[in-house]
Amino acid sequence: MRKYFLFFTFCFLFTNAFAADLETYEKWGTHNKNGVQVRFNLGYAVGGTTPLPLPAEMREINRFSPYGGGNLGVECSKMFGTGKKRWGLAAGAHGFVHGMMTGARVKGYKMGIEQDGNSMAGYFTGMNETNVRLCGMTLPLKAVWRASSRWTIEAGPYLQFFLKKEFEGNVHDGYLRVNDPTGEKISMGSDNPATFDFSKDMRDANWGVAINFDWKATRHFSLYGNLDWGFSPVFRSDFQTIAFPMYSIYANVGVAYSLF
Amino acid sequence: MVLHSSKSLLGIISAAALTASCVAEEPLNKECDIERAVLHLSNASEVLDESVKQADCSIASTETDIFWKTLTPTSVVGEAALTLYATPGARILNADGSPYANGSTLHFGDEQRHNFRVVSEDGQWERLYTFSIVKPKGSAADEADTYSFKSNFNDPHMVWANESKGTGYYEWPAEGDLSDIWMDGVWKNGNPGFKLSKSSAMPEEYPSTLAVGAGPDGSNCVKLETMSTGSFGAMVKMPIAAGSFFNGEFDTSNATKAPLKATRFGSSMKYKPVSVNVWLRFEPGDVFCDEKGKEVPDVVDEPDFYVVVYRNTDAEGNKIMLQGDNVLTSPQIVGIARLPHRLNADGSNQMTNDPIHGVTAEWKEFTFNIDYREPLDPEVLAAKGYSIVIGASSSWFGATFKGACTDPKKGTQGNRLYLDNMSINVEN
Repeated sequence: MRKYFLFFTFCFLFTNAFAADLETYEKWGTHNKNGVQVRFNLGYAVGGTTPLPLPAEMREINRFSPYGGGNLGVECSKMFGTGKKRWGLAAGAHGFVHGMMTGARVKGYKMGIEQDGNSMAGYFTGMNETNVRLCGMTLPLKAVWRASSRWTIEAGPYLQFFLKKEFEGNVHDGYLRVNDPTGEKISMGSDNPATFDFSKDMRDANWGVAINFDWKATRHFSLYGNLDWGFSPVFRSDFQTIAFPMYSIYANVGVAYSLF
Repeated sequence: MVLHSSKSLLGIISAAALTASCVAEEPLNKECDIERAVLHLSNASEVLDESVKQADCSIASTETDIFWKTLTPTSVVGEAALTLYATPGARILNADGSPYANGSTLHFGDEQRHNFRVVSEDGQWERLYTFSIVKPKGSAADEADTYSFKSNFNDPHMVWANESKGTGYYEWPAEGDLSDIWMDGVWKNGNPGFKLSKSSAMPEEYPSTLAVGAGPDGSNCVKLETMSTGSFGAMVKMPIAAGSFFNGEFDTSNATKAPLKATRFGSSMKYKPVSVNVWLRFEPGDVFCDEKGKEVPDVVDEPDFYVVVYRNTDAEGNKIMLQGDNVLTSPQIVGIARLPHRLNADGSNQMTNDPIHGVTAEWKEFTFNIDYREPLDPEVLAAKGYSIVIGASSSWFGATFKGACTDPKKGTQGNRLYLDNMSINVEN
């Protein structure tokens, strides 16, 4: 109870710290007389696809580079109430292209692959390199809160659909113990890595929670930061190769333009 | 304010990244292998046949019954200290469960077997190992005029991948006195490597298999067939596997990392081989493909059969085995015989549509007379200082993954080389 009390007190103080009069709110607001706003976003996307939390088998991430992607979207919001109209609801559609490359050292990483009726399973120790490239559409539905005349915070669930998905890579500089840790040891060199491609095992859709911070630089132009945190694993539930669920977490930073 | 906003944004992103980059505590080792064993003998080279196993040896991941062989049936090894090197963190226990005092002196006389249990660091896995020193049988093989180095390949036994499903491959035991000469008493081939790429393969779908009643005399014979390795083979850029047959060792652990080093050839012998007789039959495949699986027009794939005799000790006195990359080219070679093959002007191997190997679809007996480059040293011969290699492959360029392969997906038929009734003729 005490926790909630503190939270609400904080919110109240925070709100008051940014308190401004109705005139200021209207000056910065870009909603039409019906409380409707249309906003276009253009942003740069960085992030990755990762197991959460990182399993103990993953010993070290020695390389990570996001494939600098982009995000282009439109959002429509409707503010409710009268006066400052601080609360509302927003729906949007964002096209995105993003991805990453990561190199990790793993130890006793349990895996199993099935292809054309043949299977290979066991425990891998060594280096793993993964490339992920995703392209698709995100449809968020968010609550909107004008924290101050210039700050807007939005949060809510989203649905994501992939038009193109790629999850491929290789394992090298290590060995596989076939079936279990006492099985045959198969060495993998760096000059002849074993490649994998699990693109077909990825789900076509994903859901998660988005949170967006928007700060008005001018009345029409704002800077924003957005985080799309995937809550559904990126692979289908019958996919056994990777023993732990992996999630997509991508952030965008960019510029938004509001109509009206 | 702008600065502020970007900071809070960075905060959110780095919080996410932090969660992701928090590396958990290192898990304990699951493995429990003995990776190396050292038998402490001051006169190892005099009492042990180190061409079979050296006193200080590394142990393959599939090996759990480890034995050294004495040089002669009368060589004596009584006691020796044994040091074992296990996976880091693993514990080595005696048969009674007490910890093994590493380096203890053990009694090895009378081929006594010593059992050990190795338990992984995490305590979840264990393996059982046996160490012993055995004597060569040295029966008839000691008297060159009563030897029997004949092989009929009638009764291979199964190595199951999954016995209930009937998947697995054949392994041919060395027959007669060869069983004492061939390392661990069996002929080797690439089937253990093929099993990794095609776990569902039935015995007859392996590159080295048995042809029932198809021999020249109506008995069983060996069939070598170049096969596609499917999608797993493609993952490691090894699209085909030629049927192979040889004496020596096949190291599966290196089959994908360094395939030419995975095949180790030869067995030490104290008689001078003069020739090898073998019955051969060959059916060429449809389409010759390069290592990327791309069709090479106007080339007919060829079979390979060779006999090599080499000095198994290098200049520093270390025991060596020839491997896939030097079995036919090493300066250690003292004698060789091989199926004829066209060469380019610079001596390199020619791909041709008009091969000269002479093996046809009709059974025919071939005699491979060993062409010696130098006389054998009788003392070296008596100390098993020469090794003989007998090797066969359904595709001449199979080691570099070029050839005509059987691929059910493409509907192509690969090369097939059949062999039967082999004998090694040695000098009396």
